Amino acid sequence: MKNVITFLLLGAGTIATAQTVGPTSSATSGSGTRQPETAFSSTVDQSTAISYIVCSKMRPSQRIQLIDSLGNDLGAKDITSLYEFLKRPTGLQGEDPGVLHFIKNEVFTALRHQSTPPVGLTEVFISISQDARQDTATRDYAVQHLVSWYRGGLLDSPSARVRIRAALEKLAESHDCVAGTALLGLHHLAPLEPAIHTKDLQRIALAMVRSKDSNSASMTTAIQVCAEEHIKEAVPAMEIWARKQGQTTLQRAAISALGMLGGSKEVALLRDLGRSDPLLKAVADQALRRLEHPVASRQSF
Amino acid sequence: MSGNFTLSLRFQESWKKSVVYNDSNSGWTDAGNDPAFKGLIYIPINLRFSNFLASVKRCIPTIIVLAALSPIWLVVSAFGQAPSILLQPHWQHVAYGTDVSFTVNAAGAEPLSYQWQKGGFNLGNYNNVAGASTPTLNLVGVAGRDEGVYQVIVANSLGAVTSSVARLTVAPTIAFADDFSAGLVNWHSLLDSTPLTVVSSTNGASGQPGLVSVSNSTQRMYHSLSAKLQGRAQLTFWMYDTGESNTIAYGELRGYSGPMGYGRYATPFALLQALSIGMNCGQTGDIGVRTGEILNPSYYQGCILRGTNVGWFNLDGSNAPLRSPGMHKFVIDRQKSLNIVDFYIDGVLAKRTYGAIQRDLDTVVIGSCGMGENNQLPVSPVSASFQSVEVNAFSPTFDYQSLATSGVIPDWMKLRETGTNSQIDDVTVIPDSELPGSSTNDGMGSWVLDKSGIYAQGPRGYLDYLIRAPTDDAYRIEIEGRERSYQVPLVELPLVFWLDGVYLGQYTLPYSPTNDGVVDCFTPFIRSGTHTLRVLWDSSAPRRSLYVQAVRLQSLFSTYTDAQGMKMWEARRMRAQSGVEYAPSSSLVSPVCIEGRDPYLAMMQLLAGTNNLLSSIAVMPGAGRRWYANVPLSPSTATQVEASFQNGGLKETNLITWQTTDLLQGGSVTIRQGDSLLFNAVPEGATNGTVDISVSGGASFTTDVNTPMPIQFNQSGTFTVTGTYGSSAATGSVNVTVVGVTLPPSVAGLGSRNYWDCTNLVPGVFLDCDPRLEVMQLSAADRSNIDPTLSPLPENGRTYRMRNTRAYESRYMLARLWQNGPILASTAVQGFHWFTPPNASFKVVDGLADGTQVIEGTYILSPVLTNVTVTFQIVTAGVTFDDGTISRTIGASDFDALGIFRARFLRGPNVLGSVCNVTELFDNGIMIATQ
Repeated sequence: MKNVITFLLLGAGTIATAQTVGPTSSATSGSGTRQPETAFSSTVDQSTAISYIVCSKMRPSQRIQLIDSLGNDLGAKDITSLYEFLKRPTGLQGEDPGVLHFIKNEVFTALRHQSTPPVGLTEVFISISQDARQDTATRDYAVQHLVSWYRGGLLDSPSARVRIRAALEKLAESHDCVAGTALLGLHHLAPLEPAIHTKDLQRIALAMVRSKDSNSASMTTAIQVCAEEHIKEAVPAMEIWARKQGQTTLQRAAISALGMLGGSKEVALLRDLGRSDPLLKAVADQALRRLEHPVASRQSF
Repeated sequence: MSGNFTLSLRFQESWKKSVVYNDSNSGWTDAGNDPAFKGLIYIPINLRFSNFLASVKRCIPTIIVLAALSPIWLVVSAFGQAPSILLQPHWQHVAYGTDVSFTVNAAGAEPLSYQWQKGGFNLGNYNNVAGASTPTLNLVGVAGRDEGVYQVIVANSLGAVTSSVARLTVAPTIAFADDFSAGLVNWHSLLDSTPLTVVSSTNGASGQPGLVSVSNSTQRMYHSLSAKLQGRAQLTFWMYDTGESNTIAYGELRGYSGPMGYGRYATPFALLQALSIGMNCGQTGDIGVRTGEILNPSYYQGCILRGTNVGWFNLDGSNAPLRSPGMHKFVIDRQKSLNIVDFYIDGVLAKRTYGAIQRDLDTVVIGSCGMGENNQLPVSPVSASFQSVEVNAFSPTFDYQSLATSGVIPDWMKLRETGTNSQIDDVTVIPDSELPGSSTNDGMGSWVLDKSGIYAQGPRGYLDYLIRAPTDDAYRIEIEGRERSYQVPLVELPLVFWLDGVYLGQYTLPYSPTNDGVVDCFTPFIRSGTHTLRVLWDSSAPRRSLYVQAVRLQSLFSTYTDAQGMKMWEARRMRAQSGVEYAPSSSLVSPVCIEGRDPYLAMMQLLAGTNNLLSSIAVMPGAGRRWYANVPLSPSTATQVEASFQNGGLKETNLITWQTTDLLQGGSVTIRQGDSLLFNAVPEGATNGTVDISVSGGASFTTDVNTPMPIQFNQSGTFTVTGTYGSSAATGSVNVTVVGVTLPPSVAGLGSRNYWDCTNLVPGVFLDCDPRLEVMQLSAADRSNIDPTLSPLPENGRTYRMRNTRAYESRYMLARLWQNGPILASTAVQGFHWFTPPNASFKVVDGLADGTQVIEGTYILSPVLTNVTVTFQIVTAGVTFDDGTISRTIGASDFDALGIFRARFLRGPNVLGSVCNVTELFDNGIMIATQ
């Protein structure tokens, strides 16, 4: 019988059987946490490494390792090869979509981290994000990287910022499957970028909340953006979604938003929700507390 | 058994005359000129076998080899002779990392002793040295520091002989080479981040080297090396000289503060060093011409950017070639002693220069320097053509950490890092005490006892062990363990050690697929008794955990001691780590700012006073494992300063006299706010009388010639202090400039959008930073780009950016009155590590009926900094925190005692992306990191 010592705070067995969510890498993450599995990457030059990275027959772990080894000084030819790989529609590549999402996400990151911004990268992000032949996950990643690229400072051309803002606005207004992610990008960039006008952002977010064409993911996000942007006009829609069962994420986003935007009228609704559904009680109670003790739009807990 | 035998004795010729053999039945036979037996003599002897040994012993003291031949041969080494060398050690030129052996073959009366030397100093079986007292010296994994001359002293009771010297040279590795046969590959414009589009190049035909012509509008281009070159480094290139006098074209080796090489403007990092060679008679920009130098267009030029002797200078050594049209070979050779740089033209040493500050080199730059650059040159540059650029590196030490085979970083490596010269020690590691891994005293996290060991659960944790030091000594701590599962591939097991709360360092525990490994570190000098060792572990791979088998405290035995009886290696190491570096015998100013080095300030004590009445003086951290202290001086007698390092293992004493400022001599002095000066005004020969001293602003004092007057200056500004001796005309004044500076609290380790404003760094004040901080000054434009809403800085304001992530200790920045001057103020930059542990970064912890997943993300802030907040922003549509929000800010109280924070996310059923989020860390509102 093994003796389990838990010195403090951490329960035993917190990790052993947990399922890892995939893909779990973030479009905005660095590359600091992965560990190479073998010394594979040290045996090939950069161009060969890229030919392996884009090859679906290579083991995913080796491809990831090679991406990690690319460095930040890629030549133009190598960058072009990676662009071609990224732009190739998912369905034509004949490999597991989950793996492909992961690989492409890592390649996006590697390109963003080049010491000299790769020429054309902005257009690659934009074209993939708008390319209906790409699957939703790849397009969503492209939007996320587009935002991170913008935040990073150095871009590949003087006009890149204008083009990125236009692309995000176009996507956010499109009722497209990645519209919500584009709206989130604009929302996060707005405090850093005076050229993103609050009124435009609010108009887009409110339209998304009010639209019947918005998918649930975009609606979830739009409701929260409206809450953080203090768009009172979104409250009626929030009330509707707060009452609606069956879409947990959307419902909780709406309840939480009411706690941020609502008034005395919403108190009764939140209490009802808390009483009627034990699973919602914590969220509803928290929203009530916010109503009673309003805080800044960016919540602190 | 008995009988008669005929024996022949074979002697080495050199001993033959000393061998005495009195058997009258035998005679000497000299091999003489018989080439087959040169050097041998035969001694046929007849003796009874039963008396054989006794007979032989009678004539020779020792039998080395006995070989029975026909007739029987006794092969002996004759004794009674001083040693001589038959085979000398020989010169060797080997590749980096090679194992090298030097061998000597000597003869002489036994026992023979051997002592190998390097550069005249005795070697011991230490560092990478084995066999230092045997005929064969082994050097394991040689690198730049092993280069030098080796010889051996062979001795016996009758004398000693020294071998000839054998030089060891270690071949460089090619860090970079480009003959442009493929045109320009991975070269970038130096001036901005735009692609290199206007450089013309000629590809080499049929594999021949290419010629790259750089136009004046292109100016310079750079190539990032893939490594930071720490030791000796050489840049070699060929460049065409048109012969025009106003040509400005050259090549450079540069070093930047960032992780890799960068161009000048494409980088957020600082240019720390540049060594240049070529043609430049017009540069007056950033660096200018070396003081006292007039650039001569008949010569080529060199330049050093950072150091004590900076600027452009002529390469006008005694044999230096004059400039001439055509292709020439240029070489910059940064020497092993890193402040020396040699400049070669066409293979001739054109100049050796000193004072180049030590910086890692990571970038090659070639090109011409143009009007467009902000140097605004007074002459028109011309195009320049280059061929065959090559960089050779000489690694100073062999990188044992790259050895995947053994995986163990040997002791010599660690001790060498401290600058230890351990060349005369003979050190043996002996076990002193051992604790099973399970015998932890305390800890945090989730750990499971398993047999005698213990293994971790969760993403991190630490264990405390009580270890007993039997005597006052420095020890080695050894941890034996492995990754628990032995799964392949092997993963890193990073450990951080503290002893009694003092940070010892970060290490990696190696192990093999089937066996435990060990990792060890050295303690400072500690007192006997019980000490607490803390071992922190962070997971580096999913589903992997640390297993600790044993913890050992080991004494390091040495036969060599210093005059105080301390082990030689220990004494040397301590002196390398700790000590007083600046404590003048006299000072105009009190308190005097003294400085030194020491990595364990918690174990240091500083006392000062007079007449053995000493009191404690505060010791403050300096920039990079250093310290400083302000010692008040006595105006009447020398002040005694006693510094004790590493729990008293090393002590130093200094006497400092407060020197009088004679106002009659005039002059000026700059001091710190709060400093005092000791004034008097005494004409030569005066032994008594009064002195009147007045300070502009009103204060005045009267003293006598034998009692200097201490005056403290508590306000910044410029003051005139006037002194008059008695009622005579002997009067004089000194101008005192008082500088007051405060450094605002710094922010913790920084990212790309952060900044640190200093508002009162007056001109001349020097910011001295821990070199590990990678500090760079930002322009007003940089600052405005970070946050356009910031108010402009005042006149004496400066903005800096620092990087100190992944550090477990604070690092410091100092404001000095001038470069290397007394310290005005200091501030700490907190080190921290922010990461998502791979062992538990994201996992599904629940699934809801509608298909929504509840996902838990784990984040670690280590250590938890009270003034740091973390903001999470979800960046994927359809993902929220479990309360439905998309933004969250947490503070120190949200982390547990291990620095872990767990966030729960909801991912809607139709969301295909991951639970991506951006985290931003703020220190008092300034963003310090983003992930």
